[in-house]
Amino acid sequence: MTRVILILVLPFVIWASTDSLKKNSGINLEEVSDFYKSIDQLEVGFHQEIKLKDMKSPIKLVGILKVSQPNQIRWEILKPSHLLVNLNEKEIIVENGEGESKTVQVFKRGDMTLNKENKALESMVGWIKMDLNALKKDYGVTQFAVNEFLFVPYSKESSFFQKLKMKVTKNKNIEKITLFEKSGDLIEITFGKPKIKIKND
Amino acid sequence: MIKRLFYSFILSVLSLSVLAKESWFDQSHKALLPSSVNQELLNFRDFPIFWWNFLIFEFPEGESVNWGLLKNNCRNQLLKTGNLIRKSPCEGLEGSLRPLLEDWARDFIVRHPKPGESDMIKLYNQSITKASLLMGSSITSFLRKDPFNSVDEYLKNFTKKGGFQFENHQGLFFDPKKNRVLIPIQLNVPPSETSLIGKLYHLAEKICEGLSCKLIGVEGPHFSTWQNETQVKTDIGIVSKIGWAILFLFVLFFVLSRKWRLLYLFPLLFCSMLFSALITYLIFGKIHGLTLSFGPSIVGLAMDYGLHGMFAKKDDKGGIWRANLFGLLTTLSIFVVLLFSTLPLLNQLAVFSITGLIISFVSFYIFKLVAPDLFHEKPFQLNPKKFKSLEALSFVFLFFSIIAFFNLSPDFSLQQLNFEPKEAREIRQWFFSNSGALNPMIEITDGEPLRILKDSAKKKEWANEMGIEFDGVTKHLPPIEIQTKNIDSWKPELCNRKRSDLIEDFFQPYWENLKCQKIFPVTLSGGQIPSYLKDYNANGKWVNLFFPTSKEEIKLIHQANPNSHSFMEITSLFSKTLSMELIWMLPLAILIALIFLFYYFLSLEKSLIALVPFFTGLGCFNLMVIFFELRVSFISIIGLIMMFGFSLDYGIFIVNLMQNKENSDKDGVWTTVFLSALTTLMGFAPLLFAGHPALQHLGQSLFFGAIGTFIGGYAGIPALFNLQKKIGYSLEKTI
Repeated sequence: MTRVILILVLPFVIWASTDSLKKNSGINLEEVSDFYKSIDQLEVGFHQEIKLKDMKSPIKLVGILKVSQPNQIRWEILKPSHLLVNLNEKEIIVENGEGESKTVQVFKRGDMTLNKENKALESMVGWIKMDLNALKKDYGVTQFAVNEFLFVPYSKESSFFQKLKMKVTKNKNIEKITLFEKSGDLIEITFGKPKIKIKND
Repeated sequence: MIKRLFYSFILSVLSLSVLAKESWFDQSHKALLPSSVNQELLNFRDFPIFWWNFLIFEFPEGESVNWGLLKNNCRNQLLKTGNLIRKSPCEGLEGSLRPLLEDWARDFIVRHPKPGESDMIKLYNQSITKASLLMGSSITSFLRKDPFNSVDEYLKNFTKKGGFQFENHQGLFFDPKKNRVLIPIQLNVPPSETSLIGKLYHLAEKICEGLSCKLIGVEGPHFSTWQNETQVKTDIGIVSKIGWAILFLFVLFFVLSRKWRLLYLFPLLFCSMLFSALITYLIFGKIHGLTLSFGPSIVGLAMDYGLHGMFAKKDDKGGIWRANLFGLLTTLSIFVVLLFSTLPLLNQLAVFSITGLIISFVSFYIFKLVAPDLFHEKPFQLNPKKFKSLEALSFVFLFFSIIAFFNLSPDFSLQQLNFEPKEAREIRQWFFSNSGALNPMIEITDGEPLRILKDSAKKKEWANEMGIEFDGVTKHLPPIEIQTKNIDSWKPELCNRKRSDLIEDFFQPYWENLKCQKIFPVTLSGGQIPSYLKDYNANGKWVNLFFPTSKEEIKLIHQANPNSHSFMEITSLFSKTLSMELIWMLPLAILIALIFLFYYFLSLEKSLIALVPFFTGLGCFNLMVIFFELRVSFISIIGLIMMFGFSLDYGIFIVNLMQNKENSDKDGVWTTVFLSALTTLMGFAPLLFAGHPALQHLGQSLFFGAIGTFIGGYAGIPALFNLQKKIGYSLEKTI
């Protein structure tokens, strides 16, 4: 479950993360982070593709991500079936399906197992609060092309993915995230044009 | 002729070895339970559903629990136990629950009829969408075997189980008042297998690493058995060491007092003990640690015969040995009666004692015949003073022995024999007072699997009607007719499925297991039992559980299911059995001994006076029970029976001395009685400090009994003779 949280907050982590990556032309992560800090509310549609190594065709999902500062996150899959993950500081609510077959699970954040795969949970709370130091502790970040960054966990054992690629637009929005799992499975999330509300102050 | 007899004897002893088993040393708790009760207990303890144990952790007051870290530590530590853990809420879907959940997901189609087309599509899509949660490839591979989302159905029940009145944190229970966390774990071995439980306990202690909690207790059948065995081992170690120290002191005393010939008795006694151990092993196939601890103490009572023989006058014409023989016979009468006990430990102890006492007696007697000069020692010149106070005390003890028949109310419950660390009592009370549903009514059924399924379904239906919670096979698997109906409804879907490429592809691992036209109901026959039902099966039998919440419901369950019993009812069979045994055992033992005494003295009066040391022993013990509020269990009663045996030896010799029968030698008798009482007291005193209640109770009855016995013999019998002289009363004359 914490992996879900990880993937949900990842865009913000990435926006928020900063490193000395000003060497190339294009956007650097510091700028993305600053931009993110200025956001009060964000809503963006996305397409998710899961490519399992032994499946011919990928699983295609469509959804919406909504974020309200300081730490309200809503990850909603609309197709092929409804699935909603609501995350706040205290709990995670997962609603799966609709009508009679709908199941609702509520997890208290404290009840979540902190195993080797999701130690990132601790740092994620820091990410939600824009604690950039937490991210730097766990990931090495490199810019490998214009507006494209590679995140590699320092501890391969404590992370469920091997590496993560991220592409941002000229407008400092996340365009695409690609997660490479240890098993060889691949997850691609492509974001649309976001609706953004900037903080007043 | 003699050679032939000898060879026949050796051969007959060796022939017993066919009964012997490989492992000769037994330290289990089983031997303390009657064989009939033990079987009952084992019957239901064989079912894995009763293999749940609980780890209890306490956090400092006011401190919140870091559930994530606690669960993670728990999972990591339990992983180190290998395959010992069957189920635990600490593990996720990747743990030991995985095979069970896969079977559960596979059998969705036998539990449920096929839903309508739109619901089917919803279910498929719901499961596929779950894959978006990115829980890792291992979980994804499980989701591909669960197209109908049945995992939620199982986990909902699993984390609810327990009946605790605590907060439920994903299967871990929390009592906010005490700030205690309860982690249930189900083990993969029956409670009798305790070899890995010590390791599990130490790993459980490490769960608190990095947290401020502490493992304050463990509950459950495995931990209880392990704690008892550990305590018995510790006690045996201590008692054995003290035994050797006492032996050394006596040897030293005999050497310093130049009565070194007494040392001849030791090797003879030692050989007798070895031989009786061999016989016991050959008969029972193993010897319990407690038999080895107490058996030698009982056989040590034979030292009395050696001492009497050695301290007898040189011109003794067999009178001492005749008295010795009757002392032996009265003692044996007790152990012969114990042979008919249903307690395996007592059977072993009786065999060990009977063989040891007889062999010792015979070897002493042969020694006396072969080397009369070596088998003689001058007694100490004892001229014991008469203490009026001791005489008075012996009458007080006699009075309390009568009181004993009214106030001594032994508690024969098995709980009396259960070792429980002092600090665990409060925790145990807290645990049981908050676990209302933990005392189910158990019903074990046998027979044709199809009939079992049908019967279990009827019982479930009955329980539902009565509003009583039920657990059994049919809670998870419907009867065959319904299964067949369900499967039939699924056949079109399974045989002529025309789903999208994605559904076909994603759930391929599920379809692989379900070949069209080869899907049959789960019949439970041929040993093909799904993982999720294995908790309810043992040795071809099945268990049903009813969870009553009131006495009325217990009555209802009894009426409708006469073969159902609660754990308490099963264990109470033990106390009932024992009470029934003691009702005939004690009077029979006294009667047999009295017959021997009468045959020896040819006087009812003398025979009754010879019983005085036993009654003063009983009175002394009863006084201590009242004064120190001691608990009296069936082990205490066994101690008293043993005390009865040796007290009669004192009675016979002192009565002889008082009436100057058998050429009695005053110094010889008193030296023997003093030495014998001293060895008995020193032998059993260490048991007073034993940790295990069974050993404590044995020590209390034998130690205080021996004090009373000695006072009764030393002061009581002479006082009664004096009283008789004074008042000139004779029972024989009256009769």
